[in-house]
Amino acid sequence: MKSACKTIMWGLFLSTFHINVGEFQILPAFVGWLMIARAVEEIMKEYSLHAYKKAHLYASLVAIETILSFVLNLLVRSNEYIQVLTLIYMIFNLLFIYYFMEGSLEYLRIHGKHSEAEHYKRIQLYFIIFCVMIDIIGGISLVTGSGEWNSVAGGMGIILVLSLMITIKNIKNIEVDQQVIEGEEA
Amino acid sequence: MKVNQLALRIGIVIMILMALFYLIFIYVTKLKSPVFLRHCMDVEVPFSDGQTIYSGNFSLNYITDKTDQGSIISINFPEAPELLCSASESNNRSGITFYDSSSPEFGITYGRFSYRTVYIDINYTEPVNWTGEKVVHKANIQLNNGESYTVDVGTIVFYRDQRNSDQYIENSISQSSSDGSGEITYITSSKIKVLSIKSDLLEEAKDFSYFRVNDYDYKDFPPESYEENGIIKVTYQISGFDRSQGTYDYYELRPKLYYQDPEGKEKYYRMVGINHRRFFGDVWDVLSYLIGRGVW
Repeated sequence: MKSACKTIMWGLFLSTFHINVGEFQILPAFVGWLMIARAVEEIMKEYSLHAYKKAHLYASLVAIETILSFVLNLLVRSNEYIQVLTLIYMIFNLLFIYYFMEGSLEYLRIHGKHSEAEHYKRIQLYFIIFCVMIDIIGGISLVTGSGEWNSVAGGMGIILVLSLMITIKNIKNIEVDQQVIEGEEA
Repeated sequence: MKVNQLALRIGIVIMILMALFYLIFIYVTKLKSPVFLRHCMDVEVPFSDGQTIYSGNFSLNYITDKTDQGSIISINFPEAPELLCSASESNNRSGITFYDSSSPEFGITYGRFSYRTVYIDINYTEPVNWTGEKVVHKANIQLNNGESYTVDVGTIVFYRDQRNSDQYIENSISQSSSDGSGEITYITSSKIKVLSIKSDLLEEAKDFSYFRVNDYDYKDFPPESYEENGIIKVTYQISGFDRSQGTYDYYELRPKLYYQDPEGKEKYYRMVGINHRRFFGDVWDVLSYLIGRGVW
């Protein structure tokens, strides 16, 4: 669980921050999302929870979306219809965050960390609201072509990813009694 | 239902609606062809002396999709085939440039629209010494991607006056405001008698609330004599540049001011400096304008 969470954090980092040489991305966003999907799959082996299965599904869909977006941007320039993929990305991204958080809440409850689970349930709600706000602002920037709205949406997106990374790090660091789950499985 | 689950469902619905709205918006507002602003212009066609090429230049403005990668490379006016013009969307006339004029990003971007300018040179006329006036409303444009369109450009009067080296009137001070008002002062350099002002475009343009010469309407001001350093003051007000539609969007007028020179000969002077143009603040201004033009 701990190493998988670390991989997810790196995946989130790589999916957000890119290194470019000219117009070419050395580490495109899909690399990060493939890492995330793989890490969630690892967690599923340890905790076969329905929410993690869904989180894996949506992480994979985001990975596919980012691959498609990367290829289309290489092949077709200046097509507005490709930009709608950004809005679809936000939908899958929200679903991934929701189900990953849902899985983590179940994980905490399994280990008897009910007060922590309640705390992160509130954070899950903040993430949902924040994601929808980013989507609305991003949509406005696409329609109006406003650089200001685009910057606001981009800044909020970075805050969202950093908050998610900190949340995952904190959940990872919660000391849980492995015997609880082993006892339940027995 | 849990609060978070409900928030997720509402959020997903909002996000899907946003994506659908964006798709419908770009589908509905796609422009089938470039939309030229309605210009109301007098454009001088300069003389050529057979040795030096005097190219007259002017510009026209149009709106197209931001993603339109075509750039205008050729323009001609079917109503004035004697004018042979060249066109470019780059006003950089120097030989060596690092600016890539083939980039589709030039122009001012308003949302999914691009406001662009095409710079036109009148290279020569056929016959070479043609004089007179030609009124055009349409232009045939050709883009570098092979597409070509016939577009409405408003009313452009191409003129080439007889050579006249007399300078009895000089433009002194001109000022114009974004509200459509303007004031120009001309100074006489000799004793002359101002007779009248004539301009087909002034007659046609309905957007002028007034066009006055020394506080008289230009149509009925009394002939008046001026001594040397006499002041002829022209004031005007153009309306119709708000969200409602005006007759034209871009003015550059050069009415003819008729006068008697000191020897009693009747001549005219082209009054310059009467310029005004529509400004777009944001994408909604452009949308409102295009809807008013009946583009969709």
